[in-house]
Order: sequence, then structure tokens, then C-alpha cells
Amino acid sequence: MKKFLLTLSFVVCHLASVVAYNQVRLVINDGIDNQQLKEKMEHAVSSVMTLINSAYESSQSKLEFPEYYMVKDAQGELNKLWANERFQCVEEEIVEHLLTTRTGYQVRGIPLIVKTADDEELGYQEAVINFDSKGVIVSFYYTINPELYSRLRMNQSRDKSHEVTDLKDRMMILDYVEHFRTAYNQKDLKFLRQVFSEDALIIVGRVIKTKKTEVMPSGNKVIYSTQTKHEYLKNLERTFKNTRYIKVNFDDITIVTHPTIKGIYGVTVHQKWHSGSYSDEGYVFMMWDFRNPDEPQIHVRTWQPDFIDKARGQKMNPNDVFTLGDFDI
Amino acid sequence: MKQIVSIIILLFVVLTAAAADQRQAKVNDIKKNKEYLYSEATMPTQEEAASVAYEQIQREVLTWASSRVSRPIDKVSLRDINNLVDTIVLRRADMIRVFAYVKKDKLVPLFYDNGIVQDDSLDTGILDQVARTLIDTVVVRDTVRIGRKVPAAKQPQKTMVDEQLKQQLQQRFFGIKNPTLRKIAAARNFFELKHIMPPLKADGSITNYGKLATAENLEECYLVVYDIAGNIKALLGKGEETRPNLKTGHDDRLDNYRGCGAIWFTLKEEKK
Repeated sequence: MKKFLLTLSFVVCHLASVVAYNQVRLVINDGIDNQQLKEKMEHAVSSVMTLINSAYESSQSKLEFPEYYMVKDAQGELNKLWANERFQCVEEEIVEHLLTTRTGYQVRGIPLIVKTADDEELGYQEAVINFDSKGVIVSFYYTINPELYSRLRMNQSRDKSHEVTDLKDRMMILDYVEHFRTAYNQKDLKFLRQVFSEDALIIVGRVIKTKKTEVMPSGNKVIYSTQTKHEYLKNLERTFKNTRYIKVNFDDITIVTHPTIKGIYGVTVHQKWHSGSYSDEGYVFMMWDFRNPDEPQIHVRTWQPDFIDKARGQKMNPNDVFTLGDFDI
Repeated sequence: MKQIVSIIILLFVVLTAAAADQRQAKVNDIKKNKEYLYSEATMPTQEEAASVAYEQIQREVLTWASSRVSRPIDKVSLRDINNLVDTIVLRRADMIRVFAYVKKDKLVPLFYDNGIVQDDSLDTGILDQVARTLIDTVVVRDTVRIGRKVPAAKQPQKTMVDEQLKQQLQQRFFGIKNPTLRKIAAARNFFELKHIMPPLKADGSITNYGKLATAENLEECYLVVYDIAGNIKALLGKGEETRPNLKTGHDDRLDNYRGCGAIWFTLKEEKK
């Protein structure tokens, strides 16, 4: 009898904790005066995260939310991510600021534990949720490193020469950079097709071995090849098909404005790419065109390896990393 | 024996989880409480997370302090800020989260005592507005800019006065004829007071001032009362238990401001 009661109480406690574990509550601690809108957004995120947790526990293959909380397009984007990676929020209560964006509102710092669709642990990520002006969720992405975001948002970039001084511009660019980064995790070819301009220039660097010289004592050097948008996306599509998951992280972001053309920005990120069987680190430079802020485009994308000779610790010379000044518009 | 060991292990797991939950709950309580400034960072190691969290909270503190006065503050010892900051460390999956926080009222004496660069030509914000947007000719004649005199007053330009500002100014200056008291009454917060008091002492308008705890004959002193965020709550005249509230014209008591701080001062014609 004692054993039975002990087992029963253990099972009941466990079930209670699972139910409680799934519940998530968002509290917005500042950033909006409209109480009704604030509560609507809190309720939307709380419900969406609780449903995501339930789907995670029950290994559901598809996420569905009422359109009152999240627009259909955003649900589609989230399901693209869900198809490759499953995530849950392990905190019952999240307290965050609400930021105002160009098109609505944003809440950042939603803590997630992520694993692949077939259970490989991918670790910790944070999500950013965007709302329209009526408080409906319009997007859900992974964030860049929160400390980086905070530094960039406060305009404490290391490159002061052509820093982007307007806060709204900085947030707009960071938004798209986060969406761009999440698109790789989502294997979202549609977005990538849309965001690269038709005549985009893609430059990929790779390290090759040559004869050792005084100038190149390691015998390694970087050579560059160019691709069209079509070629790049065709290769990417093949990669997406052949890998279980893609985990892309951006750190050390620099954003500069074009000295003479308003709306053109150079974004350099240090990218860490990790898929099932391959990983690399390198510098990605993108020339973003925000002259039409509703449809920004990338005209140039370059990739250069972090190390020319990793065994010897020979890093890419920072002066050799492509910048806005290397390209004519 | 096996049962006892199992129970002990179970208890250990439960208590550890409960402790983590308590820390998480404390973090959320602080984030919801407007009396605190905070920052947090989640990084692979505690050292990295702490470094980022401290850097961010320094920025938060300096931004907050700058919003209390009319220009950015950057000459404050960051070590002093760090000494006042507490942290809570939690785990988040394979990462470490460091949550750094500081109560705003702990910062108030820091910015008062450690000194912001003195600048006699500094605008005192509302006081300069008072000099320009006139309510009546008495205010115009008596108002001077800190450290310098403004040119002789012109005709009151009532059409320039914003109604809301007029009400605010009326509240501030109700019944106050003494020009020194008017200047002190113009301070909206502790940081503005910081720029008003030293010059008044330097020119002899006030004979002395200090923190409440240092007053000897408190009943002979005027009091400026401020809340934990540094906002000025009251300007009280002299008295033992009951004092005149110089802004409202009603009787008031220091007891009515529990949880607040106060600065005492004495005027030129009265000695401590």
C-alpha cells in the first residue's frame, strides 16, 4: 500500500510538473502605454509558446496557431524552422521589454532549447518575435547574439568611420540580418531567392595549397570564385537537400553606411556554419540595399575563411576582408 | 537502506531544482520592478557572461543617470557602479546566464557624492525655462540663471507660456517669495538639485546643506525631500513635527515621506 501511494504521488507530481512545464507566460515590463495592446501581445506570445512546448512534448510535426495570434505567413515560416529544428521554452515566465519598430513592435530574448528534428541537441538559442501595429505576430526568428544586438542598437560599433547613426535604420537592418540568418536554419530558399537581387554578385573564397614561399610560408592561399545568384542558390538547394540541419550563427557584426548613397549598407558578420557533417567559420560581407525598405536586396555577398592555415593559427588578415569600399555601385 | 538513499537523492534533486526556480523567480521580480536597473547575458562561460552583463549594466546606469540631468554623464567611476551591482547566476541549457542588477536609490548618492563635472554655464533645464517663460513680473525680476545673471526682464510673454507648463510652474512656485527657495523649488530631481545647491552656497544664499542624517538642529532647517528614483517630492519649511510645504502651501510632516531621502539646508539670514 505504501509503495502504491508513493508511486501514485510520484506520477501525479510528474504529470503536474509536465503540465506546468509546458505553460509559458510573457510579461512585458515596459515599452508601451496602451494596456489593451500590451495584454494582447502578452497573451499571443504566451499562447504561442505554450502551444510550441506542447508540440515539442508530443513530437508534433506541424504547428498551428489561431490567426488572431499569428498571421498565416509567419506560421508558414515557423513551420519551415520546425521541420528542421524543434525547440521549446523551458522558462515558465519571461519578462522582457517591448521595442517599437518601423512597422509595429518587437520582443526579444525568448529563451529556447533547440534540437534537430531527429533529436540531436543543438543547444541554446534566443528568439525575436515581431508584431504588427495591432499586436498580431508577424514573424518569429532566431536572434543574433544578444550582447551584439544591444551594442549595435546602442550604436557602439567598433567601426566609427561610417556608422549608422539612426536607431530605426539600425533596427531595420538588424531585423533583416536576423531573418537572413534564420532563413539558413529554416532552409528557406524562397526568402533567399527574394532577398538576393537578380544580378547579385556572390564571391566565395577557399583555401588552396601552393608552393611555400617567403610571402606564403604555410603554402596556403585563398582564391576567389564568383557565382551568379542562380548558381549560388542551386548549390544551396543541393546542400539543403543533403543535410539534416543547418545551424548558422552570426557574431561580431559590423554595419556601415555608404558614404554617398543613402540606403546602401555594408554588413560584415563572422559566421559559424554547422551542418550534420560539415562546419566552417568565416567572414561574410553583404551589401544591402534598403532604398525600398519593404523589399531590401543583397547585391553582393562574399565569404572568406577565418583561417588561412588553421594548424599554424594563421588567420585571415582583417584588412583583406571585403568591405563596402571594394565594390562600385 | 536502499529506500533511504533513494529518498535522499530525490530530495537533493528536488531542492536543487527548487533553488534554481527561486533564483529565476527573483530575476523576474526584479525585471518587473521599476526600482531596479538590470542587464543579463547568456554565454558559454560564466566569465564571458559576467563580463558582458557588467558592461551592459554600466551602459544602463549611465543612460539612466544622463536622463536625470540635461546632458550625458561620463565622468563617474565605473568601479563604483560595479561595487553596487549584484548578480544572480543561472544555467540555461549548455550556457550560463548572469543577471546583474542594481537598485536605483543606491545610485543616487553615487552621482551626488562622486561629483559630476562642475560647469557654471550649464543650463538647469526647468530653471532656464522659468527665466524665459514668464508667469508674472515678480518671477521675472527675481529669477537669475545659475552662475550668471540674465539680462533685465522684458515684458512678460504670456502668449509663449504652455498651459501645462504654467500649471507645473505655479505648483512649483506657489507662495514662495524668497528667490533662493524659488531656485531650489525649480529642481525636478536630485540631479538638478546637485547643480543648484553648490552655487547657492558659493554665493552665500544658503549657509550650509547636507544629507538628513548630518543635520544638528533639524527644526531650524529647510528640507528637500526626494523619492528613491531621485524625484523631488516636497520642499518643506522649518518646524519640529509640522512643517509648511512650500509648494502646496499646506502643513506637512516629514513622516509623510517614509522611504524617501532628504537634504537639509539653511538660508543666509539664519544660522544653524
